[in-house]
Amino acid sequence: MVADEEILDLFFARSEQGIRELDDKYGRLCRRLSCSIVGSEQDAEECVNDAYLGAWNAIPPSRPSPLLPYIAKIVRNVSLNAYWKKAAAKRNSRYTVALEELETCFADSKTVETEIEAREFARILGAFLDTLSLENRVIFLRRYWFADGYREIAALVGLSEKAVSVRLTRIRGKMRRYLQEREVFL
Amino acid sequence: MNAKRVSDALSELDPQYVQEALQYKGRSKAPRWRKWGAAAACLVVVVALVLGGTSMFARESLPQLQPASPASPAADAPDGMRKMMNYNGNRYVFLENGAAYSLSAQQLKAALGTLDYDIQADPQANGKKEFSTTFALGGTVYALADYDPAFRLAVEWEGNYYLCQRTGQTDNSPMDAAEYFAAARFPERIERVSIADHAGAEVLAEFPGGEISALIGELAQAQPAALTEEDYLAIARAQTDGESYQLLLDLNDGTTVSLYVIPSLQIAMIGDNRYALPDSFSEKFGDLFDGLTQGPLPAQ
Repeated sequence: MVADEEILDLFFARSEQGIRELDDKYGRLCRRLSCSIVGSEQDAEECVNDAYLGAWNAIPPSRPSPLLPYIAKIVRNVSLNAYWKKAAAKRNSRYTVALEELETCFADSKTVETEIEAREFARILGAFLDTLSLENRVIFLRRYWFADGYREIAALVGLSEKAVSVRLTRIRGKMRRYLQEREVFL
Repeated sequence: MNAKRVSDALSELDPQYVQEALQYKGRSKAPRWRKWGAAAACLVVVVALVLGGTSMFARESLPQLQPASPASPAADAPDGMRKMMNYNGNRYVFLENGAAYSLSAQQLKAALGTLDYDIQADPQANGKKEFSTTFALGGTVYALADYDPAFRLAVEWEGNYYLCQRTGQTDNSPMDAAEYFAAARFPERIERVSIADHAGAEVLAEFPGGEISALIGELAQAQPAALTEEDYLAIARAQTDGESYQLLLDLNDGTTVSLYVIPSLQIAMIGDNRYALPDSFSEKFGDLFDGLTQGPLPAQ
């Protein structure tokens, strides 16, 4: 399999072979990530193709390293755009369930002034993630960033599905308390 | 809309977390070596120990209880029956598989009766009778000084003394966890709590002394679990997958009480009974078990 640097060289050389190599190496993961969010393989295929176009337009001048998290983020953002565009009643993916789990952790803001913007919230979330063990951090990311199901997460970390469920319940409880202590509202 | 804001924030997370999750190689599950049969899923809630300076009770000085001699293999109850007896609606197991203990006359209080009914001879008829037993038939049951009979008793048989510890009720209904702990005078009698693998072969961690009282408080809230067949299967899987832990409670009388916990299922076993732990148990103590890995279970 082609190394990331070679893929980036192909992008810089504006060779469409770069897209093919990218898809060959990371396409399966990208489609799975997208499908977890949009809930449809067909929609996921479109989102991944849009994401490749986004990467094509961004590289160069960007030369991301490592490449995979960069591509995964583009896929995720494109997929989320498609997800939010769907009528609320038709949002029927694993991501919907995952988001519903998370919603219970966040208190509504009392006033507009107390709302927090996404980047600041991301910084605080990162600080919270740093308080977790590596294993718990991975479990959290796989569920709420990658929208993996309990079975996939259990297989990855070597726990039972029930154990993963209990861990996530605990982590959400910790996050709720962490955010409350810092008076973070959405 | 909270969900979208959360989603947006996740999108802005530092890529290092994403990379970490992409590269993670998890632990492998313990191989399924062991068949548990009827003994599946022992969860024991360990009662916390109150350590020295943090104890609100005066430290009592109890006579140390040590086996005078190990149990004789020939004394094992036939047909695989464990050594147990019934008294006052409660079931008791003989400690250390029926080892004889050195007890003084001062340690024995009132004689409560004689073990007249042989469970092995007629399990159907005698299995739940008062003063029925699988061991030490004909022995005399005594209350023990410094121990609530709802926790421990002594049996004198053929010149030897045996200790019996309550493990359940003769009608198989579950004990009340809080009452049991109170009878055992936990946490004040616990000196140390260790977290071991399910087999008890390896100590994986020591329970923080400062949290033992809180642990007892949580365990006292455990309620009898109504388990389905699926639950029993999950318990058995958790045992073979290294998610069941034995808690070793070292008491100030020199004895050790063993309990089992499966934090991932939020189930505990106290004596013969299984209990559902409150959610707060997992929130407060789940971290202690996270990351504890067990080696392959020994083949039976």
